[in-house]
Amino acid sequence: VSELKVFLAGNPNCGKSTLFNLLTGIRQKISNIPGTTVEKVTGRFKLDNNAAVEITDLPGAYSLIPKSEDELVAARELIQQKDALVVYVADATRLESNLYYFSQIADLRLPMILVLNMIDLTEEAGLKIDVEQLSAQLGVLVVPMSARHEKGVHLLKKHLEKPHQALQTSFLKVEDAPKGHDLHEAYRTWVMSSISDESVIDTAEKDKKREDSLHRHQRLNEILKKTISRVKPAIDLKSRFDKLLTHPVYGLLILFAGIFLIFQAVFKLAEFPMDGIEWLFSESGALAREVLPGGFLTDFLVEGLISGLAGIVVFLPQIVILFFFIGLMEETGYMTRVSFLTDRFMRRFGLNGKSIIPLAGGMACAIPSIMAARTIENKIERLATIMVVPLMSCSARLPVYTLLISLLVPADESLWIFNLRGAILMLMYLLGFVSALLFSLVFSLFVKSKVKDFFVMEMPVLRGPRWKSLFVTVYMKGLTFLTVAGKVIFVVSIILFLLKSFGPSGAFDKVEEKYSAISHEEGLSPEMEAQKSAELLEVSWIGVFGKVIEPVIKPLGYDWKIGISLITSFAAREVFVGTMSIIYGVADDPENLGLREKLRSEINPATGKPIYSTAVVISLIIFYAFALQCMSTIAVVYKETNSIKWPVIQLVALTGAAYLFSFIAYQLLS
Amino acid sequence: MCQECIKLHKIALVLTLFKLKKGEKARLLKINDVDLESKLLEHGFIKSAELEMIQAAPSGDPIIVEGAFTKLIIRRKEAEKIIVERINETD
Repeated sequence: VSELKVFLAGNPNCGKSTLFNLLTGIRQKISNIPGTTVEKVTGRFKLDNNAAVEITDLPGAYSLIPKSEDELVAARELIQQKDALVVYVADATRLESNLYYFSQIADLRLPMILVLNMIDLTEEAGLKIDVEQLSAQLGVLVVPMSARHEKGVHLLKKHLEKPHQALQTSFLKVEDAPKGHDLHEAYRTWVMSSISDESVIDTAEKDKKREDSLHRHQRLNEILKKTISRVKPAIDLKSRFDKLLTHPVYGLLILFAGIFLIFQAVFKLAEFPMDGIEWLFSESGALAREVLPGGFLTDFLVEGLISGLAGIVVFLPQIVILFFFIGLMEETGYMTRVSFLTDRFMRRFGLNGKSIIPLAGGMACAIPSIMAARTIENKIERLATIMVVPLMSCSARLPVYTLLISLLVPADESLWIFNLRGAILMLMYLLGFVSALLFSLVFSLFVKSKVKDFFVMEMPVLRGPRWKSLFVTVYMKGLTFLTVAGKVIFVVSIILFLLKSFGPSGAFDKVEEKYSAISHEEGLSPEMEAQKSAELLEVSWIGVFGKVIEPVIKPLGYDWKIGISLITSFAAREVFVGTMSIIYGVADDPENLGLREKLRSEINPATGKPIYSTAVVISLIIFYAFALQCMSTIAVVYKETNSIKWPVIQLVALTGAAYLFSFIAYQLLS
Repeated sequence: MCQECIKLHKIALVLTLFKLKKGEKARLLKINDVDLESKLLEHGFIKSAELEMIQAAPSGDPIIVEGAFTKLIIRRKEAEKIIVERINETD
């Protein structure tokens, strides 16, 4: 039995994806469409008569004649179809604009079903739709639906069981028919040529498009006049609330309060599950060490596999929480209001009103935030957002800053009413935000959109969230992260582990021999163990690399020990602290007091002065503020931009800037 | 500015969409950009359609404009290319 092939089409914000989630649940497959940043989303479900359906959620579009990448992808998919069924989802509260795209697909002569979504909202919008009349006028099956209440889903499934025929209504001008040719064949050819790469847009073509749209509106207006009556809407509480949300003053206040709430949730609420995950993985590592015999394989399992996995799974709570809020904002239509409020400010820096959410999220973690930039329709502005999100001061920088700032100023020093350490930390967050804006400005000077594009955005109606659909979305985001970014993170963790575990031939043996001689006599004290680990790290491949890059980082004031820490920081920035502890052979303690003491007392043998001078520490802080040292971020940028070019440019630009600024700071201060 | 528009501007009630004040209604006369026109057509902003200025963002840009069936967010740059005729409520 062959599967029924169904395409879901409709305008953005019509509730298409919600219906898709309700139909398929988590039986979805998300893949990238080659050469684009658009995702292809397909899913499967069964009808009551057990027939299988394969359904594709096309990107939201306003027209078959494309003006955006999303519209191009949708048009390309539709034009290839000869007899696949198109389920067209229309927002019942704005039928006129929604039926425009419907009429174009109908003229391709594809079988269709029209879903009137959000039918429950028409009453408060002051509309009365005669569904039967609409169905008769358009010559199509019409299913009234409120996806929020899952009404109509059953009826749609029932309709899917029956065979379908292409529409017979036409929205084309009969007098346009070329002699001896079928009108609709000619239309198909015209659409085909307008989505081909070498489409020519001249004045004649533009006139033809205008004629076609005007005729369509005329036809639709005639039909809608017979099917929709307008009544005066009741006192509209919602529209008053909407006025508040978009108000220049109150709207901004509500937005900032909302961002603060999200930031707190991603930062604080995620702490518990993250601690739990870390505990779980470290306990299973400890258990493995207990049960299994010591040796390389166990080391590999514990330090390579388990900690590599932990490094991925630990991000899940933040991703889930951030995407819950972003999904909520999208579902309710609030995201578009955010865009409206902040558009002017963000635009000056080549960003988009919607960039504010990924940027705020970047203060917790760049990974979910880069994924969140997907809500930005404009390709260049989305790219700019992705490029600068890693500059926001993420939570992994916190332990690094805490350690470095503690070397810089005593704990009790204060500046006016602020604790000086706290003030410097706050300054780092500010530096992150300001540099994100400035880098984006620079980016927008270099990368310009080739197509002339307009910022005309539909303001969706405010509506309550559909929880089931929201949870499916969050689940799919988490899964995508685990499978795509997770793979890269996992591989790089294992490579880092291997580099740490092996050294040039014979190097490890020497260290082992030296310490086995000592341990034969008196046994190894904890201090000796720590010293041994430090020496082993020094002779490993990572240690070798640290020494190789020493000449490169010397102008910044760093030695090979810092070099090693910079390399291992690539796994995650906070690893810096742990690596420093190993290198300086101090035992781990939560406050890093031992490490702080050790670092303060380190003397540069060449100059006789402390290594961690103010100049070096400030240079390091600046390096960590700018450098892209997070492989997870690189993996996610690669996934989200669907190209190797952008993560490479980002890596070079951000790390290059880090090098330059640290160099300037060190040279000026030392 | 084209000859036709200058003529249009002389008529007192004619102005760009951007100049409309909050709550004011107007009729769409002309869009001085073919691409913008075709984009707006998709949203049902056809000639002589009734529009209402709903709200301006902080610093006055962009604006929310309500058409017959939908609300659109339009930036200043685009709104200045849209010529409308103010409708006096008292008429």
